[in-house]
Amino acid sequence: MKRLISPILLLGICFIFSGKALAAATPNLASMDWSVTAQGNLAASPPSDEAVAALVAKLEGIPQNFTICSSHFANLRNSGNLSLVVSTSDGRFCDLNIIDKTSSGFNLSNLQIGHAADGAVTEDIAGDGHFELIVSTDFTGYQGAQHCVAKWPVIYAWTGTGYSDVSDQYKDYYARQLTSLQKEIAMIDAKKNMAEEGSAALSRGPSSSTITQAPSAINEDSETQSEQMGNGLSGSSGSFGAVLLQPSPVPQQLAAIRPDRFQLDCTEAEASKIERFLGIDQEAGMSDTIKWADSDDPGDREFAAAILADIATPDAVRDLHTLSRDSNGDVAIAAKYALKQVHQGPVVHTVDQERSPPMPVPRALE
Amino acid sequence: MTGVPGGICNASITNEVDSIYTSDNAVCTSSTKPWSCCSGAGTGSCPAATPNLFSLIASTESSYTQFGYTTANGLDGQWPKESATVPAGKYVGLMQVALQMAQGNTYASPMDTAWNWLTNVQIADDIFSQKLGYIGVIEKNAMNSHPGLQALDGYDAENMALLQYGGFASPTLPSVQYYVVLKVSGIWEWVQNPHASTKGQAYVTKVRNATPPNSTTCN
Repeated sequence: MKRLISPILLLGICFIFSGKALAAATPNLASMDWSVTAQGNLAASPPSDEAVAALVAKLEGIPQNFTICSSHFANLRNSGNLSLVVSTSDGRFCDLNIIDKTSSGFNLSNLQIGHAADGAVTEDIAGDGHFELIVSTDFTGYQGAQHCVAKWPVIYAWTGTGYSDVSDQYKDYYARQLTSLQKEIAMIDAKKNMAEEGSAALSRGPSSSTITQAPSAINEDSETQSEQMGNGLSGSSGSFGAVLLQPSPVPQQLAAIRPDRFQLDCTEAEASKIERFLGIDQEAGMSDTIKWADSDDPGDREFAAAILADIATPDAVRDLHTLSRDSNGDVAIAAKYALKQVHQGPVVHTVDQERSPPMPVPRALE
Repeated sequence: MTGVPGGICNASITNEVDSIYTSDNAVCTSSTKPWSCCSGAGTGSCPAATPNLFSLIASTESSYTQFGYTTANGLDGQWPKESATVPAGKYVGLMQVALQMAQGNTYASPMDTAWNWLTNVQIADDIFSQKLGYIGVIEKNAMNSHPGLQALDGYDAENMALLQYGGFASPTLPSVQYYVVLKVSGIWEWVQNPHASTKGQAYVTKVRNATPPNSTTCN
């Protein structure tokens, strides 16, 4: 028994000491200087993820059972102190907060973030010395693995008493986004045409319609190659192939190279929303949306529901009523809630604030 | 039935998926699960309000599939079901949990969330249990600050955790949860949050109305 206990005791002591050493190695972010003028300030010399996670856990009153999706310090308030923009994940989607250190404690502002986003981008959009935060939010509903989520960038800024959605003030930013999305759509369309031509060539004869990928070439640019090879769902470049397996030296049929249909749907939906937002065309995207609403694929019909709610013209609302009676339950549910959104008015992007001290960590969660 | 790292399995997995949830979420603790089925001092056990909840979630998240037929790296076959959001593949499998990337280009155990549906469900169970714990804390704090407020029942606690699992509510912020406390006819009550996102409410309703298969294959 003694023989057993001694190594266990030794191990235990090692754990205790290594734990203390780790704790000592993680700087206490709460007590550090957050000022803009600090030498080598926190924006220029960012703290470790461990230090950021420790602060978030302390402020939220939760155990540190999460990972940092992204974090950075930025001068968002022009108050003399930097703000910490941090998103965390417990194994599902990232949760975005801005943490401000004030004379009376810490303020925590929670922002909505899209399912596809890891964090937020800080930018001086107007070039006036004031930084804004661009947060990718969901424009269409979350459909799990069945369909992409179209995104909508919301611009937040400090407005004296809190962070607010100031997207309306930055139409030029959205105009630039529109140009970029239009280029993306043109590129996807070109890929689609190439794939269709490839398929046609394939049907004429296999010898003229295959590509032989040299493994070495694939290794040099695996991301581009995997995209060309149509990895993942509906041809999007997913996590597999490039990571798990060595590339196949077997000649590939061009038919396997297909554009990411879902990404195209989402990109088109995002572009048309900007057109409506900028007042270019209040019914922009309606023809695409009708096509999705009439699709045999329930995923497309569900996707259409959120867009119809955003268009919200009498025609769009009528189509939404039709979808609310869809034979597919998910489509009908999505359409009913989209109708509820129409009655509530446009989606409002609010920021929820919480002031420290946080709630205590319950023993059962420790 | 054991986990199958890759390939196709042809056996009923629904019972096992659900048992992972029901066996792990039945314990009441006074600090995190004060909801109404935990009577007395708030300790003891409390059967899961929705025994097939994980089947319902899997149906909504992945159409109850760990793998899907697609082409990857020139190979047509059953590949882990990847999230459709861009970048694709950030979330995988039955319960669409985050893919934990292995270091380097070789198969390693963290990839189990992609290749082993049992691991995928167990990770989801860890996440969901944690969310139920957060809900318990929100509930307890609300009951302490609102005299007369009743405990949530297990079904309502699940709805709160579902909204979080769907990615529509921050874990600890009371004002963004599925239910909030409001005074109705002079009494504090849990009511559906009028400010909760309609997309989030649609997600919870979709899960609740999902039709899981009676038996399914792993692909």
